[in-house]
Amino acid sequence: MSYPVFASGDVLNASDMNGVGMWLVKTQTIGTAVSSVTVTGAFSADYENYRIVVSGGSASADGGLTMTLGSTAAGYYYSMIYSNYTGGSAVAAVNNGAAWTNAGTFTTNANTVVMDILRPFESDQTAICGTYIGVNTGGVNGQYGGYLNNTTSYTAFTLATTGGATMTGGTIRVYGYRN
Amino acid sequence: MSMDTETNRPKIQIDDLVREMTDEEYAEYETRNANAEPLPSAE
Repeated sequence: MSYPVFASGDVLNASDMNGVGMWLVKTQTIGTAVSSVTVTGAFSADYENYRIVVSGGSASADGGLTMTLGSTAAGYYYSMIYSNYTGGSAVAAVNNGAAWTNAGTFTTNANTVVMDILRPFESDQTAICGTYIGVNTGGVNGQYGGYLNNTTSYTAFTLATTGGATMTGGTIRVYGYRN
Repeated sequence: MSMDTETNRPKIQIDDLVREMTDEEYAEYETRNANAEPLPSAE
């Protein structure tokens, strides 16, 4: 057997399995008409870095998802450069805010997050980078980076709409990058 | 006699549990709202 190509009936050797670079840690389906979703047990000592992907579903309005870790409501830093579908560019920023705003999108067409999050479980600063995807004709797309300025260890995160909008459906998937 | 405690607050989901936000959760949600910056169209 030559990893990563497997054939039916192959034995999964430790060396092959240890070469798998990403594992699905948790899957959470978004419920009906919710404004906030907390995913517990997402981060642990098993992985240092993670990817969070949200796709599918829909929302009652269009806007940016906020993201927080644990119960922390301060110390979030973030900046993004973005463009709409007719071109141009602009920037958005959070300087010691209550959340990473615009960490993802909720729209009437889909809810999206694509984010790498570095060392959320470790007792040092947590860093993020990701993509903001406007799944609507008037939407914008951006690339962002940021961090949370504390040394707290986290196991959970929360995604929330703004303005009382609600999300229905879609899936949150958390993957761990193998150390 | 049953008492209706519905407040029509936004709903929070914690893993598979969906319920209305508590006072504290609603205050946190409003704080995040107040700090959120809607993205205007790029110039």
